Amino acid sequence: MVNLQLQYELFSEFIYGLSLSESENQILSKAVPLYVRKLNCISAAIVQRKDQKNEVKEVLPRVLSKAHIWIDLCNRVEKTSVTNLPYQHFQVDQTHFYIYELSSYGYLILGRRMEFDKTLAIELVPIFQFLGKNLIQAIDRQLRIDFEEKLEQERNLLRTIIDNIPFKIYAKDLEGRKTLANKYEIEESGYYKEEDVIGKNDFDLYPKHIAEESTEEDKRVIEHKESILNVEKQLDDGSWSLISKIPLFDVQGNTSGLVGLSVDITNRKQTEEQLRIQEEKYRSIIANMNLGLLEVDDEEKIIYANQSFCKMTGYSLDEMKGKVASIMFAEGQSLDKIQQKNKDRKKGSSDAYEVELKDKWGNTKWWLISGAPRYNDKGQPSGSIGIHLDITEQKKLEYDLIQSREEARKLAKTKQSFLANMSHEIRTPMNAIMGMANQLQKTNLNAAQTNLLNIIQTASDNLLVIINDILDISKIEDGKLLIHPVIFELHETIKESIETLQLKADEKGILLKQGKFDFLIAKYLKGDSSRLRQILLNFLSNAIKFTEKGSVTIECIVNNTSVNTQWIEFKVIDTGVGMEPSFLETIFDPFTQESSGNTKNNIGTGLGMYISKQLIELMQGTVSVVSAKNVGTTITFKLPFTIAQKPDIRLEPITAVVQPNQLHQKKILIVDDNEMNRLVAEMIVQQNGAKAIHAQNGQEAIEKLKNENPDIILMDLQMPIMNGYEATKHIRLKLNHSIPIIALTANAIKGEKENCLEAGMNDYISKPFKEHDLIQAILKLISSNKNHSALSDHTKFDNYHKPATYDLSILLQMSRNDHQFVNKMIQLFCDDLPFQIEQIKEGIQQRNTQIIAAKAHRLKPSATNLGMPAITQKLKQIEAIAKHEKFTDHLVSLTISCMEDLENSRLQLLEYLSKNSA
Amino acid sequence: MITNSPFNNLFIEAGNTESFHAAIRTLELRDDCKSLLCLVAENNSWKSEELTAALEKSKLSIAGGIFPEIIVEGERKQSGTLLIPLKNQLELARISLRQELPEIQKQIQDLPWQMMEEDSSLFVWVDALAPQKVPFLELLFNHFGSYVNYLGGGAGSLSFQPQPCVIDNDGIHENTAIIAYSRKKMAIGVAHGWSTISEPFKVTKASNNHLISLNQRPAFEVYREIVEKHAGSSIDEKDFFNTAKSYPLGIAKIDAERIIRDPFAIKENGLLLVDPIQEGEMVCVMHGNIESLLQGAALATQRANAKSTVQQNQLFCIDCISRVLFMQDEFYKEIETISNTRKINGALTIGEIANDGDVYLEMYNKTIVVAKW
Repeated sequence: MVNLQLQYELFSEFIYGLSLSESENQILSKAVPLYVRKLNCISAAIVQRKDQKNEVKEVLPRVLSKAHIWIDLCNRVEKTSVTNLPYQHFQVDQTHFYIYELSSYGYLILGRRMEFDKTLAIELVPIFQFLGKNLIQAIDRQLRIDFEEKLEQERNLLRTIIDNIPFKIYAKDLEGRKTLANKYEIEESGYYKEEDVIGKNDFDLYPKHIAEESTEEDKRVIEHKESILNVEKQLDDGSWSLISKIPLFDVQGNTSGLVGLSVDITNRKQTEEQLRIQEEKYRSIIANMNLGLLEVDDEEKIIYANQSFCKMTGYSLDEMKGKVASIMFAEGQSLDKIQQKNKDRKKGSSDAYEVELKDKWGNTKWWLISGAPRYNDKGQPSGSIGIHLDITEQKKLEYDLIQSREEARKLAKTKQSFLANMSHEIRTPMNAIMGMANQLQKTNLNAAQTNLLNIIQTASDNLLVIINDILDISKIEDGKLLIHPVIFELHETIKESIETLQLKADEKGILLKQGKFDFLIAKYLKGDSSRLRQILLNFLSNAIKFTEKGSVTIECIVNNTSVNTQWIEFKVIDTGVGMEPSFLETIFDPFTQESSGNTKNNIGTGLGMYISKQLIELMQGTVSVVSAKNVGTTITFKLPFTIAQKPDIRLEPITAVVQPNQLHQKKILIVDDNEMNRLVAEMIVQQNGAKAIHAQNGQEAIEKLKNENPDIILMDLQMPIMNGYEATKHIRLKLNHSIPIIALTANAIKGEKENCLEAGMNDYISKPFKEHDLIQAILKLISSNKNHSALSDHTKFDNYHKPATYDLSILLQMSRNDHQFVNKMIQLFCDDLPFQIEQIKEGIQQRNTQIIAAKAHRLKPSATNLGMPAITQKLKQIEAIAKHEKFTDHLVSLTISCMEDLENSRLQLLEYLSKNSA
Repeated sequence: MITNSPFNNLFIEAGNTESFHAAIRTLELRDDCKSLLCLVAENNSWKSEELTAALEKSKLSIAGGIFPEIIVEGERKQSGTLLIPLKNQLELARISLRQELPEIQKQIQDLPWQMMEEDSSLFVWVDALAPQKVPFLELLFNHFGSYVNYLGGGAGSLSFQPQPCVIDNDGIHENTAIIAYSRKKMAIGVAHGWSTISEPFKVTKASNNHLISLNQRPAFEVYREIVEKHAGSSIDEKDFFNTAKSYPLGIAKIDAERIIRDPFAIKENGLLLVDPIQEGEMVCVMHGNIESLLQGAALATQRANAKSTVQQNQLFCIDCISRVLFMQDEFYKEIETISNTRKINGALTIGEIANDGDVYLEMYNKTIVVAKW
């Protein structure tokens, strides 16, 4: 029997011990231990019934939930819901369990060692029902608190958004009074706090006209229950806003006001406007530009063409749309070209090209098209876009220009031809005049005759200078005057120049001397020594010409030296009449001469200074003149030369010493169609002891060669029947004759000398020639060719007396002067040649042109490298004939001739080896 | 000097650290010794660090405490150490009571043995002066409930000065509880022998162990009226404990023996109790004499015997030091009462902890606990 007082105290503690404000968890954590302790229980648990499922909310002791009995207890609780008893009591092992309903909340389980007094057990029922209600209320309370918290959070979220979103947001009641305004709206209204705005209408806040407009809108929204959405509006200050007004409704669906949003879209509008202006601008540019714009799709069908394109083609856009562009405008090669370009566009290629097309009326037009691929929004090629420029006029101009250029070229050629002919036609009689005058001088003349003869000779010399100068001017103006650098000794060139003019100086009684010659000047220089000599002779002869007394001095000093180059400063100093400053300015102009009282001096073309200056500049040099009237003149010119090493082979011509009767018993064949020229030459050679025989053309010359066996031939080039070239080639190739041949030509134009040597001649003298020069040339060749005979006589070569048929300079240059290498190459050639010749012979016997061509081809590089131009030329001819022609007698004779030349060269090379091998 | 007992318990006299070391080594050598209960009488002069060194070195699990007195083979000892070997392994846990309740609860929830076996026991040794001692016991019971036996008591000195007093292998600790889990069930009997001499009063105001008012009246005033009427003499406030030791309070429990609370001083017209009391409890003034207490001891023994098996022949007791103070020279009678055929060993504690699964776990005062295993 439980003490009743104790029981009541317990009940009151159970009821009042739990505060109504406590949460569900607080009640649970307090109630369960209290019941266990106060009711002297050994275990207790509260299970919540929720959605037909039981959830254990609290259990003591905690390990009970892990004990095997726990499952049994849970099953019991499940069954409790279907009983009508105030509580359930059952015993498991030594423990009494009681299950009480906690109102609709769930169940309380109590475990005791001793059974409850039954009265107590029943009286506990309302106590636990009360606990259950308390728990339910706590849950409701908590739900309400949670809901209010959530509501507060949402309210805070909404307020944060409203306050911070960069829009103006407000709400108005039915009277148009603001009930809400975010900070942007407040600031826009010109206030700082919300309370300054709330409760006020638009008339309180804004100018009248704005308020009226806004109020009208509000009225429409509220009365018609319709939203105004995204209306763009420009404000008084020029800014733009995007305005929305949406009606608000109360729970009954009645309009209770409105909410308004306003976004500043000024920037967007400005950007749109800028874009619109830009687009307009570009559209205008495209539409009005003088360039045709054409867009085609990937099937080349026209999508768009601007006005200019329409104008260019004559078609309207509608006429062109959907048509294939290339077919519309192009045909033939142009069509192929455009279609190829379209293929390129598909590969992403862009370029510009010119093409000939037809417009609507069939007129031919030239367009410059700059094309590029078009891409769609996925970045894939989808046709192309082209800018078209009508270049028909330019093309026409270009054509005219080409025509003009061609005409100019023809004109230049005509001029050159004219000059060449003129030169030739003048030189030919000049040769006779000068030659005859020279011969006349050798006769007994009285003083008056001598004087007249001197005048003739001087006039002839001057005329020759004029002709040469005119030729040089022609070459300079045509840009055909080329510089031919060779290795030379400057000191020698100066010396020769002085020697050349020494006689003239002596005649005038003035001193011509070499002044300072800088010891720093390299012994060997590389440059065009011939042109340098021409410049020096010109300046020196001018100086002599205008100096009556005193001296003419030539000085050479090093102006600047780099690793490979020396700049030489030349000074030609005279003590002559000097020049006026005004004339100095034009001294280098063509056809310029200062007037002088001394008519004797006033001779010449006035081209010398001009030509010299042009030559100096052509050699990258400079020239200047300092002169003082009646004091003298100094011409200074600077030229760059490459510093060179001593050449391994002698490049300078061998100068033969002319002795009286040097040509004694020599038979010289003079070939010239001009009788006077034949006579001049004949007189010269006869005076030197030679016997002269004549021929009037090449054909005669060949006959004379065969019959008369001359020692040397003086060969004019332009002759009827057979000219000098043809005759020489015939002698060399057909007759296989190596007789020395000197060309005598009045052609002084560039390339003539090369042509002569190429044809197989040994030297070249231009008309009019000096006696001395002719004899020198003859002696030079005769001295190195004392014995000769025609190969047709089947006599052996005497290599000791034949001119060298090889030139090792190429090999030396290739090997950088490695003589061992050169010797090795020679040895290889000499060893291999008999085998090659044997093969060629077999080819001839078998009439096999392929073998002959192949062997000629094989030998050609060796002949080139060993400096055998005549043989190389023959080999080229053999190869060409053998390849393209049938087996002919000409081929056979040419081939045999070439083999003999090769054998001759081989013997000479073996001789060279025996002398030069270490 | 080491004294051996028939149950292989070892008693080491005070002041001999070497003997303590030797005793532990000796027990370690025995195959049937896995753990030790270490009961130290407070008058030992051992230095804490020396004892700690010996405890740390031992491979045996050791749990226990320093108590006002211990009982060795039926004799009270105010000094010396009793080592009781256990055949089964004790699993130890130390709970710091310096922390707040949620932290203490977490320590309990984190204990390694969560699934208790039914035939198992917990030795619980707690610093008697730890403020969180009673809440700790509630939390412990809320966790493990009645699925284990509980046996232990409050350690410390009668001087009531805080000091390290609970023992495990890591040393001696203050404001701490040591829990030792044993997979062996004990037979436990609890009784006190006190009887009510008053109507129940409701505790209307209390703060921890300060009982302020009963039935809305000052607690000492109510207490004095009843005691003076029963004793026939007035309470000498200066010698309050001399009277109060015969008149403890008893907390009423439904279907259980009253829980004794021992008043030891007067404070602000209220009473200071050895252990806390909660508001709302119903209490009576109790009284007893040597005979009734001896009856209580006999009852405890009887209850223990009733639950014990033949194999459980190790006899152990936790007796309240205040019962010794009450019985004084006649306390030997209580020892004789519970010793029965065997000499008893145990500790005289400040508050007793015992529960054999019948009732809610409480901190007892002035109560005798008899255990057999």
